[in-house]
Amino acid sequence: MMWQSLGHIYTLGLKELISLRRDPVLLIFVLYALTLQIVIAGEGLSFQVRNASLGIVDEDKTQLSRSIASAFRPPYFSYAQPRTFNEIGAALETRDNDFVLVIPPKFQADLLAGETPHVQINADATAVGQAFIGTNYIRQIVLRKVTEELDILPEDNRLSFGPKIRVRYNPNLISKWQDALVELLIVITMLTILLPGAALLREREHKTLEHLLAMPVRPVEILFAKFWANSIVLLAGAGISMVLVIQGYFGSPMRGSLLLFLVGTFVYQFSTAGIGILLATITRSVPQLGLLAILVIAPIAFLSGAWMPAESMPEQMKILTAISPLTYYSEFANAVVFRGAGIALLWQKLVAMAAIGGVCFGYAMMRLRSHLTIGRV
Amino acid sequence: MNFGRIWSLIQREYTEISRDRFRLVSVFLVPNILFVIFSFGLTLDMENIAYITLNDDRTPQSRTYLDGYAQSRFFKHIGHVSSRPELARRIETGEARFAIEITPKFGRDLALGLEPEVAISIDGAMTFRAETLRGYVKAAHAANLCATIRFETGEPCRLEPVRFEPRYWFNQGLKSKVAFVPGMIAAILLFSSALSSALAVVREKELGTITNFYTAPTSRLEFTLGKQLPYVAIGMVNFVLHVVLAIYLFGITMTGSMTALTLGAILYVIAGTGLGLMVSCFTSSQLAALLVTFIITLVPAFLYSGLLAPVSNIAGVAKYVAQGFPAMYFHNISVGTFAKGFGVANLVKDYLMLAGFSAAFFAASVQLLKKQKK
Repeated sequence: MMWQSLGHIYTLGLKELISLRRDPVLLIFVLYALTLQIVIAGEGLSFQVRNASLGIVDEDKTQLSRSIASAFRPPYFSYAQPRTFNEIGAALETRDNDFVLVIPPKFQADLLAGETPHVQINADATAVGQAFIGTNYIRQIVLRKVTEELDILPEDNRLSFGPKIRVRYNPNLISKWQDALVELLIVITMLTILLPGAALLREREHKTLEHLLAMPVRPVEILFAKFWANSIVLLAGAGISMVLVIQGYFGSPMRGSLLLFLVGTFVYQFSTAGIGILLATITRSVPQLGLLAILVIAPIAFLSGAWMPAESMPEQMKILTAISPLTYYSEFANAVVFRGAGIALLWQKLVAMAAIGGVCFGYAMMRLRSHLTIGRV
Repeated sequence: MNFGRIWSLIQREYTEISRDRFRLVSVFLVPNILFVIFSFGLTLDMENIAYITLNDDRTPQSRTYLDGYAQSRFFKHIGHVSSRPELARRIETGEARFAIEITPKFGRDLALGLEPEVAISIDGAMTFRAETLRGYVKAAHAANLCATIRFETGEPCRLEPVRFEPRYWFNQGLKSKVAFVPGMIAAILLFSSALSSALAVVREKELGTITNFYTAPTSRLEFTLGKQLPYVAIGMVNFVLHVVLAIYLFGITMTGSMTALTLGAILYVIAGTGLGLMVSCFTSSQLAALLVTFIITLVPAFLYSGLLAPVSNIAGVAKYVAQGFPAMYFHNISVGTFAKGFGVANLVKDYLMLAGFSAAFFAASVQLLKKQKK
């Protein structure tokens, strides 16, 4: 019984693979998504300050203020453009400048006299992340120059050096690595929800699902066949992408084991395929599935904490992130790839993903079976 | 061009959507639900970042210093650890995002007037968080140390030789929503309008009803127009709903011209639906069309529009990707009209680019549509 069932799952899966092979546009696209798309995303995205255009209003015009102006240079900032006070608004409005620094008159003299002069940093705050990080950078650059040029230390030498900060796992904060990995996780999510779901709906739209249901196979076998066939293709793709793109192209470290990453990916696919198949049993046509899938995939991608810190989300959102399998998968993948964590630390994440998948598959199976008994699919 | 034929095509498409109640409801519901969820959820205002402490000093001074962190709304203390391996392990699992480690000489150094040694380890796996955290932690360290010195020794403590006054233009409180809600309109509108039209043609191909078009006198131009216009109308309804939600639910003030925003939206929705239609014309299955549209719109709409990071920050190939995609132009229009007080005159370049995209996608769709299956 068991062996016969596995045989059915195997054979039905082969059928899936054949139908995948017959849609070349789709396959080329899967390949594109797992390679070039990840390169583009990793190359492009950056929350770090890069090439931020800086203007400077120098009302001091001393050696110190000139030396501060010359301290800004790529890659973080552009070379400082001289501005007048009245130009600040226009420069920020048109995005000619992202930041405008104002050094007040008598700046150097005040410092030497032991006063505390005020320095204004104007930022275009419609770019929130950049405005925040950039302001901090500018602050540090100005302070460094002031200390270097004038030999002025904070009055209390207990504050001169600051804490010893050690950034673990990615000391230079190279964001490409993470951006590329996140992109891979999101591509896997989209593909594993849509492929099996649409494969089931396609059978329904072409009425071949009735053939399947009339054959001596059980709904569970149909569902598992769709799952393994699609997963194996994507798992191979994910492995290739991990080795060639993330490690090969981007030079990201792989501190943990690739095998563990793939095991986690497989478990994750079980949860997302479950979601896809469940959606397919709820909807009646591919356009309906598409609409419902956006409603599911976009928040999963967005609220997983993969694109932005989950800590800061409102409480209600945190409930949603807790039931999204990508939350667990992204923590899992980050831990394996960057921190070299082993299975002993991560098994809970695997269990959580498997549980989400189990619930979805179970519910999908019930729906499919009830269709079967009513005779309406 | 025969307008009667185009009108009948529009009616046909309209009837199909309106009879499918699920689709009718969801074409409006789905984008607006997403808009609300994302606008609530997308925030870079970091609070409650979990951290652990390892205090080998245990003097009142070091406790005062650590209390400073515990009282900050940015940080959330989740526990003390007693050894370095334990500290490393709790960062490894992702439980704590950073750790503060105080060496045994903290209290003594402080009393001697030396700078006490504090080691802070940050989880760098998520770079934006680590970067922001580094800024927060540095500032908190200086402030807490100063407070400790004042409290324990009664001596004055001056932090920095220069006072910085940040002025955040167009968004004084540096609130995420002021920038993200208008930006979200751009992201959602593109991908909802592209997805709505993406199945319009390929569905007929897959189900075989495209034969009606092969044998009818309708030209390719008429067919494409008839397919696109209903989705442009849907997109515009969604645009109006997004704007209403932005203003009344999220309390975003419109500082610029509503006309300028609406004009941009019309061009943008034509471009978006055109993109979907183009995909629909070259794919052969609904599944392929869905996936292609998903991948070419979802990620760029969020990540290349300027929503999270300004496009000027983007380097290399990706810069061209951003420029070759309509999202960043409408992002500029939306953020410009909402936050920066822009009118039509400030945005001419963006209008021209969007009009260019609309024309290009439309022309490509007409070209890709065949009067006979090959």
